[in-house]
Amino acid sequence: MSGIPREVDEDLAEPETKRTIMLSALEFRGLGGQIIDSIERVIDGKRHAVELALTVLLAEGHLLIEDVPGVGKTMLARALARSVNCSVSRIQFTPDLLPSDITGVSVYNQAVRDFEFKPGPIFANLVIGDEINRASPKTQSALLESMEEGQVTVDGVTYPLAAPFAVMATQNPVEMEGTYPLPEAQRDRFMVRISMGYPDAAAELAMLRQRESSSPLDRLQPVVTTQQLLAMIRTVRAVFVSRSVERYAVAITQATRHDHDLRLGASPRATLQLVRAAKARAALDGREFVLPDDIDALAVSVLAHRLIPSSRLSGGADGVHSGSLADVVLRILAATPVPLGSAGSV
Amino acid sequence: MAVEAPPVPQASASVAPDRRPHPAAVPPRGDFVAWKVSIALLIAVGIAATGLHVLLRNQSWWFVVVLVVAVVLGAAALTRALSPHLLLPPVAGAFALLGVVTLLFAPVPAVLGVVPTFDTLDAFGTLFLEANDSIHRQAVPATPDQSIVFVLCIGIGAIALLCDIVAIALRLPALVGVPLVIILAVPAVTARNITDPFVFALAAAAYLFVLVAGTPHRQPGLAVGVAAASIVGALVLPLALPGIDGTIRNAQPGPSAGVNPVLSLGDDLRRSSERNVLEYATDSGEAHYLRLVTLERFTGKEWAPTETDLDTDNTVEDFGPVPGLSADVQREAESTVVEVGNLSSRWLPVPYPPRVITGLDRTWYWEPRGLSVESHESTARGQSYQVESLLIQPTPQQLLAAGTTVRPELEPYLDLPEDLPAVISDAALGVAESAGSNYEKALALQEYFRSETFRYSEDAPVEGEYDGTGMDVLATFLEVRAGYCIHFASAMAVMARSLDIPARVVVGFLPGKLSMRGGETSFSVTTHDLHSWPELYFEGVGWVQFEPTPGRGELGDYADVSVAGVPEPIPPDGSAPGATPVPTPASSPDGTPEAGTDDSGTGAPEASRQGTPWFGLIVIGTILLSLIPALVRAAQRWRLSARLASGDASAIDAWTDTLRTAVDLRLPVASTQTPREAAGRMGGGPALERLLHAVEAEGYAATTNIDSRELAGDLRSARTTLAAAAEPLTRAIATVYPPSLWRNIAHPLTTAQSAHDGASTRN
Repeated sequence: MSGIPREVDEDLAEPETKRTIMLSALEFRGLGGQIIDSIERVIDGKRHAVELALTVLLAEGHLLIEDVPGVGKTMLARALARSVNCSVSRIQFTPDLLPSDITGVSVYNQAVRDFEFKPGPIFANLVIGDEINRASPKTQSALLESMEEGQVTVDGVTYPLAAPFAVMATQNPVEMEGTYPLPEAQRDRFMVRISMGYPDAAAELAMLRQRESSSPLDRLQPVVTTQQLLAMIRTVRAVFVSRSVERYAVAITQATRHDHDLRLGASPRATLQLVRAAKARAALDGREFVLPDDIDALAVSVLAHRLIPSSRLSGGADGVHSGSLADVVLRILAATPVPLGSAGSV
Repeated sequence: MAVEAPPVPQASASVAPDRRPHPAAVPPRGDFVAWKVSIALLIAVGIAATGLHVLLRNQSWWFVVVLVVAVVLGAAALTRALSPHLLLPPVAGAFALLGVVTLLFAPVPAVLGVVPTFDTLDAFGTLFLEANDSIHRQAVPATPDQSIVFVLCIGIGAIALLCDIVAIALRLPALVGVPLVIILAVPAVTARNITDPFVFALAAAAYLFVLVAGTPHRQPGLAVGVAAASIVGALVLPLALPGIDGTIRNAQPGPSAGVNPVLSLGDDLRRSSERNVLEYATDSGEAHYLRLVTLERFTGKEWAPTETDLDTDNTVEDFGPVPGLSADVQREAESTVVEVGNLSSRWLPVPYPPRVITGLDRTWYWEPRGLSVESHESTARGQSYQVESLLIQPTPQQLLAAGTTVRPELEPYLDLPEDLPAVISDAALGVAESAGSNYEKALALQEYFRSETFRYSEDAPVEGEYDGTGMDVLATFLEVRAGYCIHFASAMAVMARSLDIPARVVVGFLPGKLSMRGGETSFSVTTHDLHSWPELYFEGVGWVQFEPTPGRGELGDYADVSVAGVPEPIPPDGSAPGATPVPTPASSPDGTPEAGTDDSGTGAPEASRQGTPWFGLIVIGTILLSLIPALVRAAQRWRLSARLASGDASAIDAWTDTLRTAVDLRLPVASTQTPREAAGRMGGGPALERLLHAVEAEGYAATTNIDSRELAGDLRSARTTLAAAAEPLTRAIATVYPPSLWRNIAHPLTTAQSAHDGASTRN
């Protein structure tokens, strides 16, 4: 368990809520491109995962990175955090991790003769939860509650979390030993699940060269300030979503609830997060409005980890067949007509 | 708007662009079951072929045709099952057609009976010529001899192959309607009976079956609509056009065998300028009328031969008794050698009454009433034969002796329609009332017509249907007192019947001109000698020929009033009821030979002029009907351009039309694709990019500053780019037969409910 980062106090003391700066589409795209380029200096050949991670950050969601150990899950989270000049904390989840190890504890201060709150690592802009499925469910839920609420309550006192606040959790596939799989209700809290996948040969070779001397992470400098990041987030919120696109998103999630290959479809929260993520993607693409293509591009990442396959698809096992679930989402996308109508029309 | 849920394998996945097969590049599979379409085609073509039953006598040909169609479609279907190649099945079908036709019609010169050789092709050529002859000489309904069945098999087999290509290879099942309508239109074009409506309804049902089998997951509504319109159009068009009446239809040129073969025969001869038809020489050195066929039935509308099946016992080696001829009448044996040139007639020109004919090619039969000689297998063309006949020389006394006796079995020759105009019978009475015997009456009638009050004219100044032999025409003829031989002959026969004299009309040739050939006397008969005349029956003598046409032919001794012994007829009463004075005095009562060109008198040139546009209109109408899809599509574009120019149309409208163009060109666009994906499928290009930008802004952005008026140019150039990238055949089909009229690609303004329905449909 790491200590409380220094920056936390400064950030908490300087709330940015009053600022209403908005970025133009071009500015936004420029900043987004810089962040992505910065991360790509560390993560080779994973542009899709990098873009998704940034999209989640800008859409105020949380990211679940699922893959086998050693493919750069943590590296991605750390590179993103470093590139945007945010406070970062990292929690290594272990089976004996307690909820208070995350949220912080009230300790008795002899000097002031009172309890004093010692904030846990959750009080940071970016929280990296490593191997989240190794912790006990109780600890997991402590993290996930704070993710959803945006605040932490300890001993009856509520402490707001930093803004921006995003959790980037990594997890090993459930088949690995000593893991507690995340319940579906908690998987639903994550906006996007991505899988890193192994790098290709060229990328792996380049990685070897780079890591020879020092960790490339050390060379990363922040490319945007926290203020700029907050402005980007505000800009994303203002991206226009037409009724057609909303209908399209709803049609897709509705379709998951009636699909014969799925036991559990996507929740309304999924619809909400799908549209939010699409807004971030549109902004990163330099647009002020969402296209159905944004929905299409994000649907698998946003929806697949929330779905539970029917016995027909999974053969009865409770495992996550991410491949086949992605296929189901693709099939639904392929079968859902894309509405096209004037912006104002219903 | 209802949203059809596309089948999963065919739908495009937005992130898996290669999932949707290109329809033109991938063999039919999935829901399009080719063999079902093949079966549907077999049924449809078989039913359409049934429609020809009104044209043909014996219906066994149908089974042969269906066998051929089944072989063609079966070979194509089998090849399709074995090979994914698009071109192989039609080629296999074509070879199967050739093979099966060879096996059925010319197996002898072929290798193993099915592989055609050059000799086989010769045999086919001969069959085609024979079919042409056969069609020309036969009346409807015709006997389907081998050559006709051959042509039917080749034609309908080829149409089946065309259907197979159109419906399965090109995946345009709605177009099958055109070849089917071609088969169905054959009876409507050639015969007086329009296609059997029952067959038409069945064929329409079979066509819909083809549509259903061949258009999975498309919008069948418009297809069915256009198909129904085509069928109704094809059905109504002939009715709406003039000339459906049999009189004109009979006279129409072409390979039609009209109901009255005489008229089509006359038409045959009339088509060319004067040419030799036949040469003959007689032992006696005298010239004779040569008869072709007897017209015995007067229906009121026309004179027609009695259509009965020939008795195959009546071979020309031995003719039956001469009807009504008694032993008292003086006769001489005569022998005539005839060499027929170019005469396409199923009746043989022979002098009356023939006893024996030798030297004929193929089998010919005589019919007992008129002793005319007929064949269902051959024509008179090129025949060379010798006729042993009699020269009957009745005396006026014998004819007078016949009195007014009519035996009961001759009463059919007195049949007249109930509604015969009074002017005809009144005229007959006025001419011959005072005559005693039938003979005198006949002479009176003949002289009445040969008198100067009647004028021979091939362009008698009457309107409308003066070409026929009907009683209305005759009434007009009696008023105008001008006409051709057919008018004189039929008028005299009708008037004779009204006076209770058995009468009929004969079609044949005048004796022709004397020509010396190699020192021997012979006679040359040309097309201008085609003629008709009445025959009247006298008890004890039989059928006796008269010649009422002024200036034509020659009179027998018994009929020539200038001959001693022949009773002088009572001069015709010029004030016969209903007879009006001649409009113009007949300065030249007998038509000059040149003027007599068309003395068979059906006036068919006029009929041809009326018949040709009728046929042309059918063709034009069919072409127009088949152009409907292209016109509809062009109209859509034109209207959109106009609306874009005026600012009425949005970028979405322009985009929808671009998608339609893509569908026309068989590009894999679908309503489940986003505009950007669809643009990717269409291949891009700057104009398309601008259109895409506009439609995304129009459709999904909060505000847009796109001026749709600027899009018209982009729309045009995007269309040009798309078309330029397509295969020439695809481009042609897109123009003539745009599939976007059949396939729904419009971006629907879906609601969650309809998307939900779409999802449940798949469950």
